[in-house]
Amino acid sequence: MGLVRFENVGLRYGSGPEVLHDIDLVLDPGSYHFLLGPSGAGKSSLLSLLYLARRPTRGMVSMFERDVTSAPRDTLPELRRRIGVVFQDYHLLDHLTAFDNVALPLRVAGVPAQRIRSEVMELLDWVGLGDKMDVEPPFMSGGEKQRVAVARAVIGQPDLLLADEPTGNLDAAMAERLMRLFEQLNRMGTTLFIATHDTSLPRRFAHPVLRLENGHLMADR
Amino acid sequence: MVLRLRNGDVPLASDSSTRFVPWIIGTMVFLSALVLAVALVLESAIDRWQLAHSVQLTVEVPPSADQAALERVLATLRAVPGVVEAAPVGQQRIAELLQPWIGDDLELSNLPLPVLIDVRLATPGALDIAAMQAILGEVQAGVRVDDGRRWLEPVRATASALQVVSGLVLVLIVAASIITVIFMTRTGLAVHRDTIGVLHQVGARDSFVAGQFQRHAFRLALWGGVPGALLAALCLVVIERLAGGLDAPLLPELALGGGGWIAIAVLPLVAAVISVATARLTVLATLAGLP
Repeated sequence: MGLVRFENVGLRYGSGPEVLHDIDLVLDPGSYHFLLGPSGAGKSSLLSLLYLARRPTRGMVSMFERDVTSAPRDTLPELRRRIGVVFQDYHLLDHLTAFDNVALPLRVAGVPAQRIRSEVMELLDWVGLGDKMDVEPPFMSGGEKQRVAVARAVIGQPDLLLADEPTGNLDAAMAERLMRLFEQLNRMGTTLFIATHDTSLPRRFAHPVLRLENGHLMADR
Repeated sequence: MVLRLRNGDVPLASDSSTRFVPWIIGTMVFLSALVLAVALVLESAIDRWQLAHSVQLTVEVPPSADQAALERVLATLRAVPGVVEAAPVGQQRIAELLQPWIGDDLELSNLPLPVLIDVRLATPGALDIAAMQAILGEVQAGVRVDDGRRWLEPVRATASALQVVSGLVLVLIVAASIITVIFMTRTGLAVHRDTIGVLHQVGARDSFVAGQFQRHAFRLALWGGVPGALLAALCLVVIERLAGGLDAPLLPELALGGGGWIAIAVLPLVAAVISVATARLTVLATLAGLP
């Protein structure tokens, strides 16, 4: 059984049309996949199922060897803590500093303050924001926000890291550095699933590519 | 009143929609304190009236009775077990009692007044009033035993009704406060939907989100409740001072005991606990509807 397993999954919003059709997907532990597809193909919808913000309207979703299709709500937070997500629009909390944004996953997990402090400072230093710990997102550039978002996604050493256009707002050097970090995390056992428009990424980093078109998922040939 | 509260992970302290809440909670606590004071004063008055009239009664000997008949009545009363004292009320005391109605310039001896005998009992209910009435009626026709029930019962019924009304007003105040907190919490949940989404995404439990709202509700309730209780205490002290100068023996003593003051001091905390519980239940019930 894979780390993530989708069987015949369909998703619709309310009574609208189905946006994902018959998705079958297996992500093995330690795997690394790119997800390509045009805007509106359903990449964000698929990611929302993966980070457990939604449940499928049909089919079966299993995460970390647990069927989450109809699992009780109170079992989901533990699973979400094993998933890091880098959103295209960052999803940072504007009223919190960079430090507090990155610390959030550890704080909700009840990690002691001393450990939070040392780990967050180390990670912010690593992404080059050691001098911006007390700065709030509205006063940061797009690239800086992206780095805070990445730091928040990886601070909890997730088993599964999802990213939606992670390099979209970064300069070439920082994008390269970020992709190297992802490689490093993958070598340490983290499963990666990266949705992107950038077709150069799969060429530069040799990992399997999945393609999503009109809500149908297929392996890239 | 301008709030300067620190934001938590959900920036509730910045919500302008919650700035009116301390005013509402403060008003509710103020009204609750006054209603509670009324209920407690009535309770204490009823207890005092009941205690006084359960060990005290008055025997009226008709004006037609002579001194010998009066002596027989007194002797009969003093021989009854449970009677501690039986003594005629002096003319001077009767004159004082009648003075407000008939003035100073009337000669009492010209009036056909009954002789009143104050009877003090050892313990409440030590005497069967009906049996006593029958015995004294045989000693002297027209003797009447008055244990105060004639006027005490209606007064007690009225006071009890007022207490029930006070209780209902308190229930309404609590209900209005709960509705206010529910409204505030639901508004907060709607305004901060995205923030709560992020918290859920990083693994926060519903109880973590509820905790944010609970802390905010607690601070707002105390922020309004403490001044509300202080203002009510000030009003009660003024009323107590003014009532101290009244010459109205039938009115209950308008003073709160130590227990009453403690109850009023605790009201802001009670308001805070109700607000916290309401916020928590509202958040958990609302979030339970999410995927």
